[in-house]
Amino acid sequence: MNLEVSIAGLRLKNPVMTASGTFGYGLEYAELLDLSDLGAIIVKGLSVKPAKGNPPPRIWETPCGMLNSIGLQNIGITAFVQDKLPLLRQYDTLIIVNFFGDTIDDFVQGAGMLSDASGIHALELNVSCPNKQAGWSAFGTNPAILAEVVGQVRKVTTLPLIVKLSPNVTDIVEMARVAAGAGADALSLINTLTGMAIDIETKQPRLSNVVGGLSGPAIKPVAVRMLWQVHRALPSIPLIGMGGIMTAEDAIEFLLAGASAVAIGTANFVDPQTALKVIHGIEQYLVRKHVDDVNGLVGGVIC
Amino acid sequence: MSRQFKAKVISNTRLNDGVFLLVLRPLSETFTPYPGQFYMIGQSGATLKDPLLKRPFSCMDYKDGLLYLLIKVRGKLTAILRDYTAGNVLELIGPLGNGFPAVGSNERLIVAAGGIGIASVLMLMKAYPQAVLFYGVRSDSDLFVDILPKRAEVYITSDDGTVGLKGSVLQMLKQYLSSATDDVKLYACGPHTMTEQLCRMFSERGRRCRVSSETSMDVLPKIDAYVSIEERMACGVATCLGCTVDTVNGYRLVCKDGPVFNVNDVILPQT
Repeated sequence: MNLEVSIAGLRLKNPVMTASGTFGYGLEYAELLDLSDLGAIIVKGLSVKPAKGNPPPRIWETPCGMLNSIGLQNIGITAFVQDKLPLLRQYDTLIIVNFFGDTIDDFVQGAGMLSDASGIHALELNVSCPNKQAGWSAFGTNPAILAEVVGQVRKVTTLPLIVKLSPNVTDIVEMARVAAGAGADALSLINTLTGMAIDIETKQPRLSNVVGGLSGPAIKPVAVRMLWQVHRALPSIPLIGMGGIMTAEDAIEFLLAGASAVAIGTANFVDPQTALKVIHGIEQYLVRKHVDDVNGLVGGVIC
Repeated sequence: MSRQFKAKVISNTRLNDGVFLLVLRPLSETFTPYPGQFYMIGQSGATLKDPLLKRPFSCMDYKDGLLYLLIKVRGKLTAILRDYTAGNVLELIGPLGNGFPAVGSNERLIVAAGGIGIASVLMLMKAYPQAVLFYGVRSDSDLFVDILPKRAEVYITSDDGTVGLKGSVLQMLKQYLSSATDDVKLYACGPHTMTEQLCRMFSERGRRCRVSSETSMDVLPKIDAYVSIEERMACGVATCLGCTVDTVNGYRLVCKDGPVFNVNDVILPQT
């Protein structure tokens, strides 16, 4: 049976990754599972300079999901490359680095720094965090600005370039088309949906940032729908599906909708072993369905 | 041996309307917790999606391979756990975080607990039988004397005066300390308001304020004070970055850098 998949020139031993922002720099979970069993690790979003993130409270659980307003707190690219990457490289898995900037120049500089480091297999361009300052969301929601940032980053890196799309748009297919046209090798979708919760006793928002990103099983149907729409419109661009995957059954839905691979996010917090259970569950499904190659599932939804 | 494990409920005892004592037997070999550490605890099974996340709970005690948790009903998960009976299985990650730092041989240990905060200091009381406990509760029904070490020296206050002295446990503690002459290590756990008050009273900054406003306060002995801080978290292992606390060293995480912090390091929210 074949579990290996190819995305943007990357060969993953299996189609299951861990999503950015839910798996730290990978090493935090090394004690609880063998990182070498993962198809890839997408590390926490990095910027040129370390970022402090938003004030607490930063987390609020909602029915079948959670809101977060971390605000891309990170140690910075230099510290990651010096302190984390050498340790992470020892594992037999692919390392995909999620990164962001505050300006297009920042994005370009970050991409350059990461491309010079050794041991990074691909970049994931983050234009879709819902917790940045006003105006930042334009990178992921304004087609012209998205085209500009993807195009500029494309010029400075030869690494496979994945663009992580925001679901907070009217037409996800248009954004996917723009990113692909500007040089993205693959697309990740979806990032969190912007949400809000209020404490009715104090009449204050639950998060100090007022709004936050909604993740978890609550958003899965939205994510599957968006992924299916993009795959149908742009069947040649590889897609990494994410959004509320808790089980192998959830992951298989994304594959059938058109994802070439999937990423586990919020479920890592609930059970750090989720990715391994999903890999095992996909294998069992292939056996049960008499399919000998996981690639045979991709886009297989009948409709 | 893994920090992620399942555990079976051995017994569940209601101590009052909202508080229960859960005794668990881990189903695999686990690490021994230190006083002040905590566990992330959730229902067993990934198909249970509401409540979704595990919640952090202090380790109240660990003996003969059994884990003791004192839990107060605060939301969905704690309400579900209250109804668990012998045989139910839970999923845990832990022990996590840094416990209380060791007490020096020439130091006296004084412990302050507010309400359910007693859960995180009981192991400490057992490790240091000479420790003095200041225990504040709302009312006599919130006071759990049976779980306290038998010979411990305990001072009790209640908000409504139904047990112990009526008033604030920190005021009583302050009075007690005003006659103390030797160096003191103070460990505390309680609600946010108590933690904040404690930081104001016992941090170096707070001390300077007191000395300038109340001239007689320089009689206070040296007090090295630590608080166990609670914050919402999704993971417990420094990946969600949710449980931030502001410190003189910048944002720190309750799960990894805490939950125990020196009061001098904590920056309180502006009031």
